[in-house]
Amino acid sequence: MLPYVLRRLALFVPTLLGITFLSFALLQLVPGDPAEVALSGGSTETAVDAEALARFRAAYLLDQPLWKQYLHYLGPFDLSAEGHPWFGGSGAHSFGGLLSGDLKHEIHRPHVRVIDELGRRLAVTVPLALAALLLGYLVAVPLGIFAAVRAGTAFDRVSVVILLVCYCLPTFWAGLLLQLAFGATGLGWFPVIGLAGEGASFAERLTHAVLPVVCLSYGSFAYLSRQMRAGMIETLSSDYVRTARAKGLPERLVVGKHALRNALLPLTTLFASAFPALIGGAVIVETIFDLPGMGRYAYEGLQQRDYFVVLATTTLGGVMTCLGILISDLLSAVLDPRIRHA
Amino acid sequence: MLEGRLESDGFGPLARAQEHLARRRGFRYALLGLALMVSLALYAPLLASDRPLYLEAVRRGEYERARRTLMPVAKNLASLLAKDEAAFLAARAASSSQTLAAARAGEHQALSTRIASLRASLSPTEGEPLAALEQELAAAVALAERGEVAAAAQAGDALAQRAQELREVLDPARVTLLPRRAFPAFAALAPLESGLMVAWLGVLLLPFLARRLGARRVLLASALLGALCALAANRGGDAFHTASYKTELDKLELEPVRVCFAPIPYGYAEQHPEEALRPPTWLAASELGPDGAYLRGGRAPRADPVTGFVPETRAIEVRAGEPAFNSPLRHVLGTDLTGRDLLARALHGARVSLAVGGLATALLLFIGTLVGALAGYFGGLLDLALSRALEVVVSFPLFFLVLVAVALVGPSMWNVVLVLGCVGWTGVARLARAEFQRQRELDYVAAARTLGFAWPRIVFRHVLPNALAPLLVAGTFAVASAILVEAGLSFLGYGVRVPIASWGGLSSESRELAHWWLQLFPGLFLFVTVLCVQLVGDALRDALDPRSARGGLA
Repeated sequence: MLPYVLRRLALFVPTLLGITFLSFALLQLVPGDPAEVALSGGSTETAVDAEALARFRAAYLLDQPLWKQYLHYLGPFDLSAEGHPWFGGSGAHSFGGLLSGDLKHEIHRPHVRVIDELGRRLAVTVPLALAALLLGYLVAVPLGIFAAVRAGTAFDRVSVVILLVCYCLPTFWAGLLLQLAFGATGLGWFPVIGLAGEGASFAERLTHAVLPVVCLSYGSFAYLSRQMRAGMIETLSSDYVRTARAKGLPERLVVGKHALRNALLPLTTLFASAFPALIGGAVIVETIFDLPGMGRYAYEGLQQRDYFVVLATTTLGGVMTCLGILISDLLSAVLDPRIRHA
Repeated sequence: MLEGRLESDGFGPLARAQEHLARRRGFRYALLGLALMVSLALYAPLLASDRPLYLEAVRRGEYERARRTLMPVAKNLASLLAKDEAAFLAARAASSSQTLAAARAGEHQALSTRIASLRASLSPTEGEPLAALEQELAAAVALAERGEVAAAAQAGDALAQRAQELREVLDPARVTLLPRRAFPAFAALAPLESGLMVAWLGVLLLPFLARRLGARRVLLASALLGALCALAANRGGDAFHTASYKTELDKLELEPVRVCFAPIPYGYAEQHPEEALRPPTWLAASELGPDGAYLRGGRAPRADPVTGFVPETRAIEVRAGEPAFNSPLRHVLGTDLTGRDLLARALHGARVSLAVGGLATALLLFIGTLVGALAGYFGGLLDLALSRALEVVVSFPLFFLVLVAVALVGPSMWNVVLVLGCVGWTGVARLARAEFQRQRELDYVAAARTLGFAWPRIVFRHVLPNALAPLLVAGTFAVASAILVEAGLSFLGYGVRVPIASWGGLSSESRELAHWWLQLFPGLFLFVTVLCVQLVGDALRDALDPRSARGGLA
């Protein structure tokens, strides 16, 4: 087990570096002078103060070669004029960059540190994503198993159709439909935008979260359930299940003990696919329901051309997904000896 | 297009799957739905257009303009013909860098166009004097080109004189103007568009012709015909060049004899500001009074409780070819913020969605197959490097990465295609890698190697066809996912830009729940399309690759 874990971790490091590199490289796609675009907020009419521009360029090494900019962004050493003495800086601000946990400040609100704001935003996104994931695993998986055991019955057929529909629903459309159906224009059951304010009761918080969680989860819900059903049907037709049936075991044991254990294995891999979908979906869901989460933060960063927000959210999205994949890989290795000896 | 071909073709690894697919009812319906969507998208400029499909009209406006300007243009030309190079240089404005020859050529051209458009509306006998004028014009210009300034000046004066006389002779009250035929909606098509439209007809007819002629022959013929059409399109022909046919028809500058508009007589960017955000017209809530005010429901104009201000309404402008202002067919799906017809926009939006889906998938299949094939076939260090690259790209949520990249590069349809193709290839690459790893151990590859074939030949000619089936399935799912991503991008404002329509962009035009039709209908088109693609993909997967239960992008 240990060699496998070590090998997997060793491969994880270059991937992490690759993620930071790709996020950094993305910013190089911006046509024109990034400093000017950033300070003018993307509009051509705003005049940019030349002095501010020079200060901005110097602080973020924009006039230096790209590799130096990248290392400056990566950290842990600050390479600017006030950076670490090793690199010819004054030593006033020796450490900086990603590895030292410094994600710079927002461009348009210079007193706000990106990392603090990111923490506040994650406090909205993570609970939503976890709730959606939980809903997926606790309801979708049993549903998939049940449908597989009853394959061919009316229940199975109806659930297959519903899940297919859910799987194909565009997120933004589902969100709009949910708002139309359950908002003030329809049944009026739930509030359609925002979060409950400070000091709201638990019930209020819950009602605000229902629609976003449903909107966030139905996609991965359908995905998990469909995969689960397919996997279970495959397992149920395998030789060892037939053997178990042949030796006279009750169906309950055959399904619940023999088949289920093997059918559950792919769930860990599915986690690696469901998780990025949740983070990607957060952008749209948080925009529709007006939630101040991480996806919204990235979107706002893009709109205001705040590169440090974009860089931070992109990197974080990549790192989180990568961690999800790592966890799911390690979990499957724990559960399935075939993987760790491959 | 691929899906359409599969139904009745019999080559490659698809032959085995055919029987399975033929038995599957859902697959047929999905294929039908998809063919319908592609047809709607392809023929959208003929289904919804503010230009008539067929127009037979007297071009009174154009005739009058040409008649009025005939004499001034002739005079200009005459004065140019009378000048030599030195006089021209002395007289021309300092800022102009035109040469005398260019100025003459310009006036010559202007006069010829006017003569041509006058003649086009007249019978040959009545156009006789114009033919004479044309000959004189050619003679005068020829004289000037030979440098005989004095003679040219004389001829130019005669020309101007003649033009002056003709102005009276050709008065519309004295001559009969003939109607002319044109196909404005067809004339506006791009060559590629008309080519595709013709070729697609062949694909649509495939189920009926394939048994008798063979699918391959039908497809080849339709492709050839399409190419011919693309080459022949917009060559010559008598097109009416006006900015707005509806306005000219309304003002009787075009006097219609017979006119046939598209079934939905609105252009995708044609605005009706006085009808902004009108609900679907078959609803009672959409009924308007003659002054343009809603008669019923919460939409009737109400005075502001504080200021007493009553919002102003304008009478609805019903342009040529449009249904009456309270007809249920006027705006079947309602209108958007600036009064553009939603149905027309939704049809044109299909073009963006399907084009992005198809092109992005082609690109990602290419990149993914290439990366996967190299990594899988060669293994070793190359595999390690490519797998790391793949893992890095996989580590970003697809939608998120595409959103950031497109927003940074600048939103446009081509950028969406490019970014989606460059980011979405990972799923295909994984499949290709696994498949190539498996195939390279097989005997036939060893045999090919023994024969001394170079690796490109082995990889692309021998292994690739055998590994195609799962890639095809993944490609189908990638189409669905690309369409969804594009819609999401446009919804957030980073896809295609207005006035170009896209399903996602239409939904985001108003976030007010009161404008439910904007949110409901475009999404419905999107949903049906994705559902059809998904069903086709599911069926293909079951037919081609029964073991695999996964597919598509995350």
